[in-house]
Amino acid sequence: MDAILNDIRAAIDAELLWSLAQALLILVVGYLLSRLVRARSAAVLQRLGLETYSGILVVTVSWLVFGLAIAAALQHLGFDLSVILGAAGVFSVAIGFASQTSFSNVISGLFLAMERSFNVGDVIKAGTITGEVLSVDLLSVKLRTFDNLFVRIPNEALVKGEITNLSRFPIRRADFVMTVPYGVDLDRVRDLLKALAEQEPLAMVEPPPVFQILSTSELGVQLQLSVWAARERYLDMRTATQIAIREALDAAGIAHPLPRRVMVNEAPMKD
Amino acid sequence: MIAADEWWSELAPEEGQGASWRIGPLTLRVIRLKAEWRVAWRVQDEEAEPTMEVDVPVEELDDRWTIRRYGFSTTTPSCRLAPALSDRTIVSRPAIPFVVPPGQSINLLVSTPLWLRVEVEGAAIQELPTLRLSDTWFGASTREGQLCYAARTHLRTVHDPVELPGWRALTPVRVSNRAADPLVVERLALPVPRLSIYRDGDSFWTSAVTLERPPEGEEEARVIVEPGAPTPGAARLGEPRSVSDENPVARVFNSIFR
Repeated sequence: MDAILNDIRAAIDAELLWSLAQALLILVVGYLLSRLVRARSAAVLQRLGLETYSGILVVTVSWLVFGLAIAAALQHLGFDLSVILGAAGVFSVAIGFASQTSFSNVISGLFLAMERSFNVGDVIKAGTITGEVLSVDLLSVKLRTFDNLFVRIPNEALVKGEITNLSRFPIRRADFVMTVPYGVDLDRVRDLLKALAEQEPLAMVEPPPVFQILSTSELGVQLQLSVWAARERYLDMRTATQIAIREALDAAGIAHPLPRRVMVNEAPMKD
Repeated sequence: MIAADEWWSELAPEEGQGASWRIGPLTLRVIRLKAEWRVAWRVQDEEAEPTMEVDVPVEELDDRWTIRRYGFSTTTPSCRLAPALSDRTIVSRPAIPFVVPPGQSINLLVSTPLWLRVEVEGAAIQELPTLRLSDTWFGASTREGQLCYAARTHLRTVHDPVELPGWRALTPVRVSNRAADPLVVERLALPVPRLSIYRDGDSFWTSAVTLERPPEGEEEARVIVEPGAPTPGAARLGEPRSVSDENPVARVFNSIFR
């Protein structure tokens, strides 16, 4: 009788061991598959022009594959997945509350990947921060500012806020605002400014420079000269044109106006 | 001083000596030292016909000059200033707009400034334009187009007398308007990087270009670079920079006329 029981126990153990081995195999295959997905998806994302977001997408997809492998292994061992998922649901609610911000950043990262507002290497402005995008990761975007600071911006903040991509289009416009005193010949100023824009090689001939009168104030007439430049030469052009404007206005005797008040005394003068 | 038509010939300067060129507004010096080649240039207000001076000694240059030093383990006596063409498309704006009526084809001559390539010991070490041209944008919108150089042109026909400065190259351009409405040539984009440079007589030439505007609804506008020499006696001095089949000028041309 003992021998029979021992045989049964051995058979059960062998069956259990066999199931465990199969579950382990599923896990190993799932793990290898997730590694394969991780390795291959980088190339696929590059072909799709999504290499900037490969960090977040690759991690999400590979974990999804490995998660499915774990679920399959558990199911193979006879676990009721609905019970496990139910328990996991309760557990994930607890975890979710605890790591709400992190999950929000992951989801926001996926939205950023879908929108493709910027790529690694682009210069973006987010809030008050302007810098070059170093990486787009699971939780945050890393920037290098022009004064060489490392800035981490949570993905959620980028999705909620306004992003300006300074590198998206090949040419940019610089606006030069200046105030000239009342009484200055504005046609002359316009000709002067347009001539200096034509002489500056970094300032584009087309789209043509635009001259406009913005407003009048107690100081004088506010003018704007708008000039286009290639994106890579934008800063050089802006500096060169700013200097040229100052020199041209100085040479023409047009000084920046100072605040002026005219006092009128209407009371009769006493002897 | 050596005659103007020899300024691109190969030179063999002694150590501590070099050559100086005056081409258009540009003055350029190339000096050979024991372990370096020194290239210096400055831009002057006055334009001059090309001249070359050899056996120029090393001397201190003031801050009007831009100087570059190129290190070699030891230098050998071999240097040349090669004429070349622009590295970008040049958009020429006629002083007076030119109209090509429907069904007409016109042969024009457009001149563009030369680029200069300093070659020492068989390698190009520096490239400079004889005239610094302004940047411009050629495209249907500020999002799509091509970064080019801008130039003014008189847009001569082949029957006009041409007195070309020796530092500019002539491009024969055939503009063909097969559409039903007149073609106003306000800007002419020459795909200069795709052109070869030639010499014929006293002038530099480039490959000829044909711009074809198709009838409405037919195939796309075409910019064709003619493969042969632009004139019967022209000798080729240099290859095109770009031999790409993709033609950004045609793409932009199409987007404008679409």
